Amino acid sequence: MKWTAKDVDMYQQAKEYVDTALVPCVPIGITNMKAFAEMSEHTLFIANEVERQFKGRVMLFPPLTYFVQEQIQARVYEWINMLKQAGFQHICFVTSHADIADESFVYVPALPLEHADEAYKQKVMRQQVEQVMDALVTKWTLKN
Amino acid sequence: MSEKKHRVSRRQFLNYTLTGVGGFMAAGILSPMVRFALDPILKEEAGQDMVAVAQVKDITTEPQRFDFKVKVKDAWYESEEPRSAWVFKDENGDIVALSPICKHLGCTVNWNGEKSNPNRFFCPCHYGLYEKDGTNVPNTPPPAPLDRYEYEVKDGTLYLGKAKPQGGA
Repeated sequence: MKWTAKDVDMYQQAKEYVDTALVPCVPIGITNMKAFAEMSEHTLFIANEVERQFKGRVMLFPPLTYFVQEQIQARVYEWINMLKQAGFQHICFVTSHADIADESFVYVPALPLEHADEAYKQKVMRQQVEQVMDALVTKWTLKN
Repeated sequence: MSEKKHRVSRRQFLNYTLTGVGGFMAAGILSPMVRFALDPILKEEAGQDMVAVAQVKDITTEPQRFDFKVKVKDAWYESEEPRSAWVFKDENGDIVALSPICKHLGCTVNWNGEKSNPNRFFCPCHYGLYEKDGTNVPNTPPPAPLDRYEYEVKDGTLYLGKAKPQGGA
């Protein structure tokens, strides 16, 4: 489910089935702006794709956005706590920014795919989507 | 004689020409407006186009996943949305194209996704199961069978249209 009025309606009716929060983590940087924009684009694409596959169990939240210079760790833990309190048992962050290391993070490196050919691009994207999906399935099976 | 009787005065002449030209101008302004106003009524119901998905010779009795894109129009915003279909031939050799969207909450189902339930569609979210023909397995979350795409075969290519719900519980 996405963070839209329509999907939130659905969420409220099926709360007990939606136990996973998916949060894209997006850094902003002013120097080397393009690389950061690429990261953001990439992360959001992957997150959207995962949401499409796991629509019924995953709530895709708006991205946690921060400046690269910011200390993000504390905010991440705060988000985890808030989401746990809100009833999400599994929390998964997706990021292309290697700076954060935590077990709830899945790292999806943004490759400079701008000029790569379409087939290769799709293959890389699919692999990364599968990587996030596998991480989620592992989380789910561990709990059950 | 008659010519003299029917003489048009300068005033009348100007009146006629101005009404004529004015009428044309008014019509020119109003007719597109009227057409715009009536447009929603005149428009035929937006039918989804059939999209080429696969070659018929690639389709086997084992469900295979094909990805394709459809143009979706949401008010004025047009976008391409990815779709998938599980396509196979049934015992009679007819093509079946099932939508992979789980009828429970909309996850994407997989063929043979779980080892203890072979030859069934499996939804990884809440462990819903469907038989090969899309019928939902009782006592799993899905409330209805998987949707079936309308299909068309032209020159050895499979075209898919809209996904329609199947009957049954």
